[in-house]
Amino acid sequence: MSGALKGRKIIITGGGEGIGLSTARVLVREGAAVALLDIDGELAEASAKALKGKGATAVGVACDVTDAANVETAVAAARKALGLIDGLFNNAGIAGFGSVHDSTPESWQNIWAVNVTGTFLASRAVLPEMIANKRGAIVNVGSVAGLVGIPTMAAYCAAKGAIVNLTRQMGAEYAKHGVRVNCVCPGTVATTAMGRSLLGSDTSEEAINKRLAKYPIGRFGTPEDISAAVAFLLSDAAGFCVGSIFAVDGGMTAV
Amino acid sequence: MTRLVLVTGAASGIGRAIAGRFLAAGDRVAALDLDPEALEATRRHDWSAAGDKITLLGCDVAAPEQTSAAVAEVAARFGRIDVLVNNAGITGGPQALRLHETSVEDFDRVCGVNVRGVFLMCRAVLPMMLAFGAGAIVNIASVAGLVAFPGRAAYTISKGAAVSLTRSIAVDYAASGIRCNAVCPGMIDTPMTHWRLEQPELRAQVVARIPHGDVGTVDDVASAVWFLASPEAKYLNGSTLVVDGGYLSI
Repeated sequence: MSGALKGRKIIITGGGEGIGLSTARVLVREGAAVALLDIDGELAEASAKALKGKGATAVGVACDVTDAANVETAVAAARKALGLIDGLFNNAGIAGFGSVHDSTPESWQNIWAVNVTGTFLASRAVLPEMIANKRGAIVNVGSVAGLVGIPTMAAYCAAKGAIVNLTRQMGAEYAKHGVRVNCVCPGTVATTAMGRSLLGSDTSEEAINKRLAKYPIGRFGTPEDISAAVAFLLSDAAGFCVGSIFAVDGGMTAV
Repeated sequence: MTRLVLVTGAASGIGRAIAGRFLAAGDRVAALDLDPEALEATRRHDWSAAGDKITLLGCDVAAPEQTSAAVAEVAARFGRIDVLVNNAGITGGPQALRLHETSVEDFDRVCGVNVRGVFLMCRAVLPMMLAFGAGAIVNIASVAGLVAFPGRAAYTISKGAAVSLTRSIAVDYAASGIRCNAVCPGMIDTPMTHWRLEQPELRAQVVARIPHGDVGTVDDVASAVWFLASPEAKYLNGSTLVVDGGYLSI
């Protein structure tokens, strides 16, 4: 792909670092203008500045995806900087450990709010203009945790499972408006802050190797691995992909 | 880097588009088809500028001596096979048939191409990929590998097997640097499906089941194959990329 996203204006939530920022680099390389929304506004601005330094059109905006008014304000700022939005990468998410019997309602609610409510609120903010223009693409971030059960990750599995089926619902509903909604399901991406939190508190070599053994390909994913699939799904090359749940997991869910 | 891409069922429909996509990007293509005359006709129409970048081989993928010979011929000419696209497939005729109505001959014919054919091609190509320590296989399965097409017993069974074969290879060969993924197209306008889409009533029935509001094109599938075969997709293994306009979502 080269120039596959020329002229596109794409919002990335959780865009300040990790998979979000890695994807921003790929989208920019393919010709898109990007708005990096992040709970850490300074990080978002610094990351956007770095992209602009390389000639990209980019803006960083502080955004708490769990707050409807805040999301509306941030999306308005992105629109003001880039123009009408025609792409959204719902990447903001948090992980957390806890089984059903020992999770606090607060931690459950927190994981649900960022992952699921955040995906809902950001989509809600951009869909009206996508529908009006009959053009848009949204990529949600599920997880292998949305496809299989992982012990001690009750809220995270529930939230990612919700995002997977929300993708099907949105795909089925908005396709007729020219808006495609799809989902990537990464396995563990060990190099990001979130990936490290997913690895849990036991970071002994034995514990890491036990996690790694679940991946036939023999390594954890990188942000770039995930970004490539996101860029494909956002592009017109994926014009007939609607409601697709795309595992990017080195074979983890194949075995 | 120029790759050698082997595409089965390349004379028409989705396979023809896949071969064209790789050729346009500068890759070399070994185009296999049951019908060598159709391959020649497609070369004259589509690939006349490709010169020796494309080689045509008649091959019945259900016949082990033919798949072995074809792969040996490609190996002799090009020295390598980087990408294998198992696209050849058949539906088993226009009539709707449930399992007890399916003749043993039809079942064997459909599974012969859609399952045995994929097995035989992979079996012939994998040793070379193992020797190189690299390779990408893309199987054209179907959404019928994930849900049942009504009255399409043999086809549904065969495509389910193709999805399972994809996972089996992905898991067994990942450590050897070989990736295997599947594209699961929904209803695509091809010579194989065109007879149905030509009839307004049947077309309306088909489209009513697709949230996107229309059937897909061969290029939609070729784009998905192109991505799965690309270096950027290096972490994708054992995955199914559904290209169905939302058919499976509802």
